[in-house]
Amino acid sequence: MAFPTLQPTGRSFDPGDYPIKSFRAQSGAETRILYGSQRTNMSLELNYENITDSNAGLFVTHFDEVQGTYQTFSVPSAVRSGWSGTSSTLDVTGANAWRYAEPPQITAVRPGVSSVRVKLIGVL
Amino acid sequence: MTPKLVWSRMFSYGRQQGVKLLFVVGEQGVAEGIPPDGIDPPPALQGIFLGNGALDAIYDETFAFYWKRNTTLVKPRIKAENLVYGTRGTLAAGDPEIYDDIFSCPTAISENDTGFSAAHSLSNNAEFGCYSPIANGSHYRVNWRVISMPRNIGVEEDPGLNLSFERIKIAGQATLTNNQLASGFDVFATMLRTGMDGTGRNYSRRMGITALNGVGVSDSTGIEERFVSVGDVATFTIARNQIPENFYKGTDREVSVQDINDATTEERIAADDALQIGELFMIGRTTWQVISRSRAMWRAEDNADQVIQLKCIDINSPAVNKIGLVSNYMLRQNYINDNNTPDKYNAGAAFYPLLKVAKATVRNTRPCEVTEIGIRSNVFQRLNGICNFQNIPSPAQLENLDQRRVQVASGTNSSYIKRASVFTIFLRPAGVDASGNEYDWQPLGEQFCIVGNQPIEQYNYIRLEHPDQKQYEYQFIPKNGADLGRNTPDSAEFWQLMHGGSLDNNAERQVLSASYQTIYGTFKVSSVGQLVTKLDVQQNSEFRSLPSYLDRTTTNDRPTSVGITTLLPDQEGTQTRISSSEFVSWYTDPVFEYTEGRNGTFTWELTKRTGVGSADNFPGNDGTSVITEYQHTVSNNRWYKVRYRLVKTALTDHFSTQSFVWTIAEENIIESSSNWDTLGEYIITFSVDNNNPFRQPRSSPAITNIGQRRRVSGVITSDFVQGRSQGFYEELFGPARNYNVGTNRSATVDITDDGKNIRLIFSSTVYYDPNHWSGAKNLWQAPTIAISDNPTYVSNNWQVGDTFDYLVTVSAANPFRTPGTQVGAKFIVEARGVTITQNYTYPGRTFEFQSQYADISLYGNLVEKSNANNPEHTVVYVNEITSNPTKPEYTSMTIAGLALKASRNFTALDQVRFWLKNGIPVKRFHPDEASEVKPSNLFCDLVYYMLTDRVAGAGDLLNMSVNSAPLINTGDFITTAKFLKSNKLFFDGAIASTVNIRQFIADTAPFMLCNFAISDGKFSLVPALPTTVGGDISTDPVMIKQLFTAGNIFEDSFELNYISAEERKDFQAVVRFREERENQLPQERNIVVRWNEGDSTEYPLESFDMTQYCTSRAHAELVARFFLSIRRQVTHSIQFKTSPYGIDLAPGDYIRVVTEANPYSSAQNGSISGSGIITSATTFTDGQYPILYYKSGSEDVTEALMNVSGGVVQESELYNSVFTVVNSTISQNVYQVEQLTLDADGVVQINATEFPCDDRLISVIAQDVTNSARFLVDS
Repeated sequence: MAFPTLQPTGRSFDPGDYPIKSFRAQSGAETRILYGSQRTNMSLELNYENITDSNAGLFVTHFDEVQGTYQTFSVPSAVRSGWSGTSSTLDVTGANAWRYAEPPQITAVRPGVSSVRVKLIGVL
Repeated sequence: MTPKLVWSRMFSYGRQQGVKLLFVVGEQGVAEGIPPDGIDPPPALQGIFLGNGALDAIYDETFAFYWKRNTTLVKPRIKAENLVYGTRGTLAAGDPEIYDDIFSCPTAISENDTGFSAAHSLSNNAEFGCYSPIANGSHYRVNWRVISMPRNIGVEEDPGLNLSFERIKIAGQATLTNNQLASGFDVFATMLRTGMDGTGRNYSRRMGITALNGVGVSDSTGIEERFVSVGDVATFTIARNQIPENFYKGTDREVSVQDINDATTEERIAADDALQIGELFMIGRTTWQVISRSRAMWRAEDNADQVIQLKCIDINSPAVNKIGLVSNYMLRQNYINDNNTPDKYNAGAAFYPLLKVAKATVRNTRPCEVTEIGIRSNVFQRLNGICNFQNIPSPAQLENLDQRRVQVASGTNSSYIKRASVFTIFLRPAGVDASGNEYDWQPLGEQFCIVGNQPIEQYNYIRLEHPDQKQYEYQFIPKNGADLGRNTPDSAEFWQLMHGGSLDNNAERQVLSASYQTIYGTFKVSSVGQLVTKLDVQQNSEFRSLPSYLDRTTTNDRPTSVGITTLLPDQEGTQTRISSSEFVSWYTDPVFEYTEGRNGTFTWELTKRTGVGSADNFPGNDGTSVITEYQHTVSNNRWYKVRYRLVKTALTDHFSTQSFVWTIAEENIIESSSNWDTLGEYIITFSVDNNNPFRQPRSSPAITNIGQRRRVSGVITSDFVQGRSQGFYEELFGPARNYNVGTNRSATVDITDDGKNIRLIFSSTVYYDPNHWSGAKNLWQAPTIAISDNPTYVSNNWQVGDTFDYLVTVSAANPFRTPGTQVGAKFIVEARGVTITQNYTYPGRTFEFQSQYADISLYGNLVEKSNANNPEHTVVYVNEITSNPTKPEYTSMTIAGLALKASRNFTALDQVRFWLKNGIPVKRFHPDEASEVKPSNLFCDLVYYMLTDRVAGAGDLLNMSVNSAPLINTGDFITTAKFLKSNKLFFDGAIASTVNIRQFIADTAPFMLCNFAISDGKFSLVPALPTTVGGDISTDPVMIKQLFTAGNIFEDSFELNYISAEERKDFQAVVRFREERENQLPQERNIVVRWNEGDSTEYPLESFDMTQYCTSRAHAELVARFFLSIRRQVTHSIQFKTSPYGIDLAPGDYIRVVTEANPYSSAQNGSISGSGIITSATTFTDGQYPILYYKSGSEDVTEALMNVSGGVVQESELYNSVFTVVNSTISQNVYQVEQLTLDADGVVQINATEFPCDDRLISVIAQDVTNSARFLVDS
């Protein structure tokens, strides 16, 4: 089963950074070393408010399929709905590989309705 | 240098020994693609040392020296043509052996096999023999002398009968009764008439075994032999009696017996001293231990008997376990009798004396097929003024002379005469049987005899060929005179070992050889000598008054022993193996002008077969290499094995869709079959797998077979004989693979040669060998060869030394040899049956029988035997010999051989040493000799050889070769070569033992003023001092490669480590080195180098050993100066981290590091009040001060300038703070980079050592090293 094709009600994207480490010389001068050519460590937080419990359960099912935070997967374009820019901007550089940063958080709203919060991390 | 001994064999040449030694001198040197020269020239004769004596001091006829500079060209083993000095090939030569293969030896396969031999000597249990005899009832005689009694008519002819009683004392009283003696009646007439007839009066020695288990011998019995068992107790009595002093005296007669009493008393005292409790003695073939004594000491004046008990502890089964006893009567009589004929009271000289005994034991140190045992013997008898019996008149002559009034005096004899010493051999397998018990000793079944007549050592050998390749123990058991005299028939035969040798020398000496069946198998024994009987070694003519006559015939019968001299075919000529080849063209099927896919197809098939697999599936990126080996099969049953170095090479948009392909970067032939011709072309092919992605080039037919057409560019020619033994055995006994291990089979062969017939019966057993070159596991042991005793099949016209061939055609299924060819052996008749018929005639009188082998003489100290005090025989060497499965060729070695006859020049075999002018050829880096492969004494050339050579060095491990050294910074080696040569820093030595290469280089480099470094992942050897372009030590300013300051030293990474004070103390350098002179033993020299300053003699001494490689005083001095300067000048080392950007450094480079320090001083601290008043131990005058201050509530220390005026701080922001005045010091030193490492973050860590320079940046150490005036040298 692929990642649930639902449109999130809220989305937060952190583009991450290039792998860089900085070193300070005795004089205070800084030296930075770039260890990679691709931006990494991007994160995507999706909120699905007031969805049916069965839809909320899809996230748990998917979480099991990818063995929790172990396997990577691609996310459907539905998660980027509402974004009018280039779709790849909200994706992992050069790939579409995400993994769960943590288990999906499901909050009951009322009987039959729940809200789900999903945190993903981009993997090169 | 001291070569390593790898093969040794000793020889016995009668009066001297010989030895053959094979040495590995060293590696052969560089050989990959370069002619392997080896070490050349050989040492000069003056430069070959045994101990500290050179070979040039001895005659050419006593040695042979062989030198083989390389072993990978024609004839890898040392052959006769490799003789450099000395002589060989004749009996009188230094190396008497005639075989072309100098280091051949007799194995189970043949007499002339390329087997392994190792000689060693025994550290204990080497002596054997019976010695220190104690008489057991054997009587004593006074020295014979002629007493003339000339008739003087008219006067009293023998006043007082003095002459008559002298005769009686010596020769006995003839027919005179005791009453006649007492009255004097007819005494003179009788003694005159009998003319000193007989052989002497027998006096009692007054000691002997008088009882066994308490049962004595009756007086009337005299002597008696009894069987004994372990635990029996014998009584040995030393009687108190003496002959009365007046026994022969009378009126006017002074014939004394004091001499007899003195002699027997001394013998009794000696016996009493020897028979101490616990001592072991041999009696006959039995062994006894003294268990009690009746008196602490026997002395004549005590007038008491000494009674000694001995307990039997070994009867040496299955020997005849008898001992002899004598009656008490015999010990008490003043004399025993006047007879020399068998008599019940005549014990004789060989009547079971008590003897100390030593047995030698030889235990094989390794499983072997042949054991050769060298024996040194010293066997003789010395006559000390005994009567010259050969010249005494007969009784009738003496009477006649007396009647004619002729005075006669007998002469005496002081000379060396023959003695015979006999021994036998017992044997057993070494170790324990299946039950954990030791094997029982078993007699070999042959008796050996050494006969000598001079106190000179003689050397003989006995060769024992084992039933199988196992370890055995051999015990040498002496046979004493009693055993020979009493328990051995006159017809018994012995091998008299004489003039030992290992030559094909039948013309001079008789080779004795026979096989002996024991419960442990059949042992074939051989030696050199002659067959003799007991009668031949029984008597000495010196004890006879007239010569004896021997009617002796020796008939040689049919052969009794046959051996294989060599397997046939002896020489198959030479084999030519391929050593290098070159690519000619691709070979494809179908034949098509392919331009694509050939290499990929070929290497894909190659790597599939070797297990490497495709390049795409192999881990690693572009450039990754792998080593693999493959054996190609070529036409005419040829093959060769190649070691490939393949490199993974990236492909771009290749038709094969593969990303990588293997390309052949290097290929070396490491092994091959025979029959290769130089420049001959051949094809190697692979059938192409359908899955081979390279097989279908664009617009070309698919490749179904891929190969290469190649040309032979180098060959190695060498001897080649292989598979003859198993090939021959298979034809004799059938295929061993068809029989179980342990199966025994025999084969009978009738051979006719030159009108002579012989029937040989071969027997062999199947054994298991998992490592045979042929792959066969079940093989036949080397067979025993028996000769039929049926005269129908064996003619009697064979001569010892005759040779004959037996060849059979190799059958189709025989895997060891080429079917249809012939295989067999050349046999030699080693021995023939000998029948001795002899009859001795003894006219005249025999004064002592069995004198040759008896351990006691009737004449006491007048006859001194060589076993009087010590064993007569010593095992001096043991050669352990076994065959090799394949002929050893000492591949890629320089080898040397030495055959030496000991003569009197060499009493011990010391270490052999050579003075060699040159070493092994290596690649040389000095620009003047660039790309030459020749001997070198530059350390960098040696380092390169050790790191790249695949045989002697780490080339195989590091995947480098002389022509491919990607892990070595060869550019530095050129610089270093110039430096070493320019400063005369030479490595003149040999590496004689295994070393850790990196450790060796790192340890030795400082002594060459170099540093061993790893730079850019490559090994490098760089000068430790700045150099000029030409290689001299530079005293110009050093070139600073990079500057490091607080701006590029990462914070918290800088470390400074001062060398401990102990390690910075000045010292005096004691340097040891060798002083060499051509063809002379080196002399070790010492110099003491110290600073040229007043108190330098007080500095402690430190020693540096450079004797392994330094032969120059200048070199030693330079190193000493270097070490002294480093100790004084270098105080610390640093390490820090810096950015990798812009770094262009390597170990050995010089850097400058500028650091700023602010040492803390409590006196420069203070506080500033809220009104700016300073409170401090120091009074601050008006002025500006850089400070670091801290205000309460702030998080950090802040730097600022403090202006003081009238003791008040002007800056209000500094109020209410504590401060310290900054007093920075800046240091800027030059350092030499030791190590560069890149850590996990990609940051460079630099380790560097202080490299002191003066203000002009000139190295202080270089100035010290080049300025000898700064040092004093004491020799």
